[in-house]
Amino acid sequence: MRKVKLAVVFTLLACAVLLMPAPSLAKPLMGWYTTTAYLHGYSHWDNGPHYAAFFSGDYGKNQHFLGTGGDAATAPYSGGIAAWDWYPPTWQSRLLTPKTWLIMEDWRGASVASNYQATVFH
Amino acid sequence: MSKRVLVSIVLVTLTIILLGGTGMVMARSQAQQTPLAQLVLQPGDLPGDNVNYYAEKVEEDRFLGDPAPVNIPLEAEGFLEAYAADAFYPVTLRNSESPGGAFILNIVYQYQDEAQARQALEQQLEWFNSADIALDARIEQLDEHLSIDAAKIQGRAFELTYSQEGLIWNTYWLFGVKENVLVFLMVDGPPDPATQEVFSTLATKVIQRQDW
Repeated sequence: MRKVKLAVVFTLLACAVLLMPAPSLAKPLMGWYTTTAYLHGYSHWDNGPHYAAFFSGDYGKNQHFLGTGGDAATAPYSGGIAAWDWYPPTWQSRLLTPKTWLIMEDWRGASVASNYQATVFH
Repeated sequence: MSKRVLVSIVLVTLTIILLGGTGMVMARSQAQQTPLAQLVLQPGDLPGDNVNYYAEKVEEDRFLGDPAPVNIPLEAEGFLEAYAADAFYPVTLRNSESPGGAFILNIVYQYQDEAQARQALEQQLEWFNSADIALDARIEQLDEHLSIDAAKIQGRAFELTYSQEGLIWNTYWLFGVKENVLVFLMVDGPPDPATQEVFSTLATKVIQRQDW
């Protein structure tokens, strides 16, 4: 009888653990972490549409291009990726990408979100 | 309590948990593909492997900055929810024969009733007469209104020419209302016939998607 009761408790605990969401290892509860953008697309209107790589976090810094050619490939465009602006100025969660870079260098993966890496605060 | 009763309790408990878990998974997948979400362009509407396609429910902070056709409808009376799809459409430019492409943004906004959706459309169109457009921009109405009329959608199509980063760009916009849904499509790229072809192709698909 005791074995059966133990089996019941064990089964219920196992099911509860299985149904719990798995914790994320890459994203801390609070703090700086390095990640890639989850979206590259339309950001905002300012005398025309502007595009950006969107990050899950604020105060972006240490941005890098992971596509073909790496950071060096961005050098001819607005001073290179290290000099590109963050938007909005308050939260800085979007890395603005020059339109000419995107059009001319799409073959490098310039419009692919996961090719943009940065350190953000979450 | 007999062993048989306890075994029965275990089996019933496991069944309930498994059914509950299955229900949760099904509910989540349905939430990701609501009828409104299916009205925006899907990966199959675009060429290539669509590695840069991204669609999501529009949150409050998605479209920041100055008032523009994309964020004006979010403030309109009766607004319920919206879905947006972003993509990059690669093309070979006709004028330079070099690789290029166009940026795609497709948004559908849902309102409580059709009158509110039409009012939101009017507010979008009023933006063209405001001071928010750059002085060097040029606007033309396009022929796409013919296909809009055929689909019984009230709307307009525009071409906007503007300068940015020292170059001239063209952006093509489609605005339409069908029932209580406001549809917006933007195709933005170099001033090349290929950009307008992308717009014509996608405008047709966007209009077809509203035929639910």
